[in-house]
Amino acid sequence: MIRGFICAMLFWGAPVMADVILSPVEISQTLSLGPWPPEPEPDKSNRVSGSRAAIALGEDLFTDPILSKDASLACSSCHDPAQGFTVPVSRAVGREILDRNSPSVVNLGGLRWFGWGGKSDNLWAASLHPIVAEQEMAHSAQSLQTALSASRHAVAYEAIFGPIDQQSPEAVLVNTAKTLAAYQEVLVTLPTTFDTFRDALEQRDHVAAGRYSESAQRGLQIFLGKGNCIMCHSGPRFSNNEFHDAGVPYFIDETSVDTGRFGGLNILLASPYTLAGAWSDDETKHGAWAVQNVRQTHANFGTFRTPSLRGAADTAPYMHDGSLPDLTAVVRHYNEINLERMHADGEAILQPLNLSEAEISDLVAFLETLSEVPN
Amino acid sequence: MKRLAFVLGALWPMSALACDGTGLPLTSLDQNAPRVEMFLDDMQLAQPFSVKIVVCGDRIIQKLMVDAIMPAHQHGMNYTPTVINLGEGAFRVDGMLFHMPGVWEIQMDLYDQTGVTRYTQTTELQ
Ligand code: HEC
Ligand code: HEC
Repeated sequence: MIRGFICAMLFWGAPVMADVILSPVEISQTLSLGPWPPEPEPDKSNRVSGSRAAIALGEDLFTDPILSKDASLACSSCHDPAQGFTVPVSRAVGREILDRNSPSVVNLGGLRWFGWGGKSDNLWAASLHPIVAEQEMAHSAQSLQTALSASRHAVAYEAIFGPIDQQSPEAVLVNTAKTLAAYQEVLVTLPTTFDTFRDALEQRDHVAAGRYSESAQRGLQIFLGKGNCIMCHSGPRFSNNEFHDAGVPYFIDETSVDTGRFGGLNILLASPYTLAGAWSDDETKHGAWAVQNVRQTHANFGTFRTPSLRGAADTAPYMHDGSLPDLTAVVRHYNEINLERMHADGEAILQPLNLSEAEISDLVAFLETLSEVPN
Repeated sequence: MKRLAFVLGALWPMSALACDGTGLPLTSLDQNAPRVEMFLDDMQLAQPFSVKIVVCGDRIIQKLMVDAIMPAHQHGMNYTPTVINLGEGAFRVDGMLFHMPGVWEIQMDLYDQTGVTRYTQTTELQ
C-alpha cells in the first residue's frame, strides 16, 4: 500500500519526460560513441608527458609571445583558452592570413594524426611546427634558444631539462614543444548531456535516458541513420581520425588549392619529428607503424582530417577553411552537398540528404548536446 | 629453448593457428588452391588490428600479400599492412585498419612455385 503511494508520488512529482525513441540497433550504435572521457594514456614518445613541471611550463609558454620571433604572437593568439582553444575567425591570422582555420587543441591526447592534413603523427611535432613556421611564429631553433635562456622561463626549463646552453638549439626546440604537448594533453572536454544519455542507456536506466530531449534524440537518429554521419564521425571522439572529402571547396583563391592530406603526408614523410624518428623518446617506437606504412595516393588530394564534434558548438566557424559560420550552416552544407565539387575518385558516401527544416534543427540540437555540460 | 617456446606461446596460442576449420575460410576461384583460414579476433573500427592467416597443407609459400577494400566506396585501406611469416604456413598481418564501418573485402595473394593465387573474404564491421 505504502509502496504504491510512494511510486505514484514519484511519478507525479517528476518533470515531464520524453521516452527513449531509439531502436535497439540505434542504442548499440549510440553506446559506441562513449564512454567519455577516455583513459588518459601517457605519450611514450614524450618523456615529459604527464610531468607536472612540464605541464606547468607548457601552460605558461602557451600564452607567452616569447615563442614568436618578434614577440607578436602566442599559441593562445590562435588557440585562446577563453574561446574553446580557438578563435572565431575563418582563417588563422599569423604574420599573414593562413589558409586554414585554427582547430581547437582539446581532446588531442592519443590521436594518430594532427592538423587538417595530418602533417604530424604526434602532439609535440604539431606544437613545434607553428614555432618555426615562417608565416606563424617564425623563430629559428637558434633564436628560440636565445629568447628562452634570457627569459623568466629559463629556471623552469632547466629544472626539467638541464642547462639550456649545453643543449643544441634543435634539442631546445623539441623540448619546448614537448612541454607544450604535455600541457595540451591534459585539455579534455567534460562529459556532456549526450554522455549522460549514453551512460543511462548503457545502465538501462530509461528514466534518466528519457531526460535527453526528444529533438536531440531525433537528431541522433539522423546522425546514425540517413545522415550517415557516423561513417566518419565515429567512436567516443566522434572522429575516425582519418581523411575525407566532405565537399568543402579546396580552392584557396583563383590560382591555388589546399591539397589537404596529400601535402600533409609529404610534410610528414620528410619530417625528422615523427614517432619513427630520433626525437621520439620511445625506444620501442610505439605508433611508428602509421608513418612507416601510411599510403600516399592520388585520392588523398583535397581530403582533410575528420574533426571531432565534441565541444564543436563552441568553436565556430567550421571546416578546414572556416567557411561555414555555424552548425546550422554545416548541416545545410551536408543537406545540399554539391556532388560536382566532390572528387571524381571520391568515396561516394555523401549525397544530398533532403532533410526537412524540422530535421535540420533536430540534427543541430543533437550536435549542440555534444558541447552541453550538465550542471 | 623452453623459455623461447613459452614466450612465443604466450603471444600466440599455437592452437588458434591450426588448420582445423575454426578460422574464417578465404575463398579462391582456383579449385586447386590450398585451403586458407583467417582469424580476425581483435578487429576494431578505426584502430589498427592484426589478422592471423594459416595456409593449410605443405606448399612452400614464397610470399603473402594482404590488402582490403570497401567495395561500396571504391577505396582501400590508408595503410599497407605488414606480413610476418611465423613458419609452418602461419602468418600474422599487422597494421590492418578499417577506418569506416560497413563491408570490407579482405584480399590475399599467395605466391608459390605455381604462381599467384588470389583469395578474398568479406567481413562487416559495425
Ligand atoms: C597564427 C595562428 C596560430 C598560432 C600562433 C598557433 N597555431 Fe596551432 N594551429 C593553427 C592552425 C591554422 C592549425 C591547423 C594547421 C594544419 O592544418 O596543419 C593549427 C594546428 C595546431 C595543432 C593541431 C591540432 C589538431 O586538431 O590536430 C596543435 C596541437 C597546435 N596547433 C598547437 C599550437 C601551439 C602549441 C602553438 C604555439 C607554439 C600554436 N599552435 C600556435 C593556428 C595557429
Ligand atoms: C565522408 C566522411 C564524413 C561524413 C559522412 C560526415 N562528415 Fe562531417 N566532416 C568530415 C570532414 C573530413 C570534415 C572536415 C572537412 C573540411 O574541413 O574540408 C567534417 C567536418 C564536419 C563539421 C565541422 C567541424 C569543425 O570543427 O570544423 C561538422 C559539425 C560535421 N562535419 C558534422 C557532420 C554531420 C552532422 C554529418 C552527417 C550529416 C557529417 N559530418 C558527415 C567528414 C565527414
